[in-house]
Amino acid sequence: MVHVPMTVSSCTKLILYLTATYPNTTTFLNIIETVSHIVDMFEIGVPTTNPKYDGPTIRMTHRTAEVKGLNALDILRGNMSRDFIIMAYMEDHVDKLDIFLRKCAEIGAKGVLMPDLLFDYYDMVDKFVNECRRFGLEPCFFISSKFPYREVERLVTYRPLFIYLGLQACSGVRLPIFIERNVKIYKSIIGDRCPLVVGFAIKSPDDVRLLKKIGVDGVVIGSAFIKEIARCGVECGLKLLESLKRALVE
Amino acid sequence: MWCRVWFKASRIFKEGSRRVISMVSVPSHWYNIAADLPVPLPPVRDPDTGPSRIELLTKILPSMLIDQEFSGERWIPIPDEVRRMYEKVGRPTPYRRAENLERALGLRDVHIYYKFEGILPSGSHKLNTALAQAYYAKQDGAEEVVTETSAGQWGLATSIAAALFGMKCTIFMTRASYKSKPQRRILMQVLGATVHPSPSDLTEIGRKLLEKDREHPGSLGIAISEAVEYVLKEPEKRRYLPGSVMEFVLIHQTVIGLEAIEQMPEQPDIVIACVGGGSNFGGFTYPMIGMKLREEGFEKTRFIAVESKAAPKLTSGRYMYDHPDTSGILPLIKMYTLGKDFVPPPIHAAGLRYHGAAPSLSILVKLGIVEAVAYEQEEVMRAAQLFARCEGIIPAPESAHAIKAVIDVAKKASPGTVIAFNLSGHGLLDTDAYSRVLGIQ
Ligand SMILES: Cc1ncc(COP(=O)(O)O)c(C=O)c1O
Repeated sequence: MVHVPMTVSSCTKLILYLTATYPNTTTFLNIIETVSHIVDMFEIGVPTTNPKYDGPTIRMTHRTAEVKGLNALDILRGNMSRDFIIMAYMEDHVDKLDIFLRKCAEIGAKGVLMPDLLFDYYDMVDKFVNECRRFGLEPCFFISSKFPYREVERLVTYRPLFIYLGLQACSGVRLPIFIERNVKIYKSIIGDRCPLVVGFAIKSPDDVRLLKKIGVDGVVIGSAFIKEIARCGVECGLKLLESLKRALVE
Repeated sequence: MWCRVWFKASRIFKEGSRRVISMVSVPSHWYNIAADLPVPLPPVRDPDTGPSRIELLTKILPSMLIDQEFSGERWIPIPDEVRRMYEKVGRPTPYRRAENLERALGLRDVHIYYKFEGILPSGSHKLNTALAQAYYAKQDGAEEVVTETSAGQWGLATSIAAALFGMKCTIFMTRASYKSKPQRRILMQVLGATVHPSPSDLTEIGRKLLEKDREHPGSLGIAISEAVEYVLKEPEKRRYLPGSVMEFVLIHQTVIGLEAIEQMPEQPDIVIACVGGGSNFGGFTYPMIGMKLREEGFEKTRFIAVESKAAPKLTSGRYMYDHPDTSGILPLIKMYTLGKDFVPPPIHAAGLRYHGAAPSLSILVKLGIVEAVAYEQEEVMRAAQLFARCEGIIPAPESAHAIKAVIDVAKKASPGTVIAFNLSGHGLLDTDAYSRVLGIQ
């Protein structure tokens, strides 16, 4: 497996979000294989019936993924040549967190991101971090664009793999939000103490150039890629990623 | 900016002066409590079915308001033009001591202060956000602002703001108030606004409700739905301006609390304000709660939110995701709610007839940082009468809820206690409330 260390650096990583087994197992594996050479890391979502913070495009992928729930992760085993983290909602796994984390560890995930952890399960942060570590997984934290400053400070002390800032109200939907200002605020709080990854509605080389300039350590592409492959296939998706990668390394 | 404000305030506290400082200026920034909350605000959400309500926001709200709703900035600069408008309409508003009320209650060394938003031309605090929202709507190129109102306080404020910025204004007024409170409706029309009773037959939701009941009293939730539906018919020209609940509304209202902190001769032990959707409460208290959370002051201060027993979301509601409007066109927000379909009985404090409370206020109540109490209409109006007879100001029925709580708290307070509340509006146009509840013919 190729490890691209997730560190605070001048090089902004390209992270691709995919929902496991969307649109079906074969195409999903084909996508992974086709784009692995330019993607630095994958974020793989566990298909759920309640993707609560996601926008219409990613919701659709959860609804239509071939395999539902944790079993959808089985196809990752042995098929990933890049680092990947697992994204799942705590609501689905709160009663059997150890089963979920064991599965993530078994299939070789590097870390785990649970977007509703800090909003709906705030008291469970310690437990989440400890359990992740027990299974050899690195915790990642999702924060919104209006997250309390002191709480961001606290998250940094857990030494997560990264903090993921959602730039928009939900994935894939672009509102007139001054994201540059919000990213700068959280970047200045986090500083160089932990990598800052951003996502939600990023779609163009100009977007990633701007984010790179502000100093983010990674950008996540999700809805834009899914729309692109729906429009004209995996090759188009690859082209989109190539254009974004060029903007990141130029 | 903050240091300056607090320095001045703390200096005054140290001197122990009871002088009321009148030389304060209009704040340069609004305050966003999201940056300081002890836990994060849950994100807005789309419901499981139907189109993305979040996506729809761009067609409904002025773009800068969307930005402010999702801003991580603790201090948000107030545009120069809005600051000038604030000055033009009479900000800063006074902060006074209610000495006669203290005496009437027989209090021993318990001081009661109030910030008085009723001196604004709208007669209530609502103008603080109406001016900002109309300004941003105009910046978007909109020609018409659209909103809901119940007692007419928000509708009147929006009408004034629209007039000042030279825009058209359309108001959906709950039918119960449209009938029982003609004065504000007439004033809105004087200012150039078009006022429709809600439910109306201008919208689908309105028509549906009227089919069931031609005399449906309406509710704020229904009127919001109608206003939004009306905007969506011509989204290029129209913008919807919400009167409360949304975080940016609370942010704009923080001018009240920021001024008050500069004006306070002594730091209050108890701070009280009434709650409809939460903007009056948040506007007055958040700058103080923020200092408490940042450990910069108000460490021992208690904050009390007062609601009507007719719409008791904070004391009897559930903390959950719900729509701010009845028809569910707007995204889900996590709040204390009685359910979007809850139609509160028609009380005179119509501005408190709302099913939910702003997400930030809901969280503060859930965490116990803000306490909540609810009162019945009659006891509230009696408190208002006592206040009027002592201080010479007729309070709005909504604000009277805070007064009732102040009186109850003051009677039990130990010597040395300082209480501050926000008198969010005057009741000069609420004679029907005084007449009916107090039996004054
Ligand atoms: C005078 C007055 N005070 C308070 C309120 C309640 O305001 P909020 O919704 O901001 O809590 C209203 C609402 O209309 C009002 O008119």
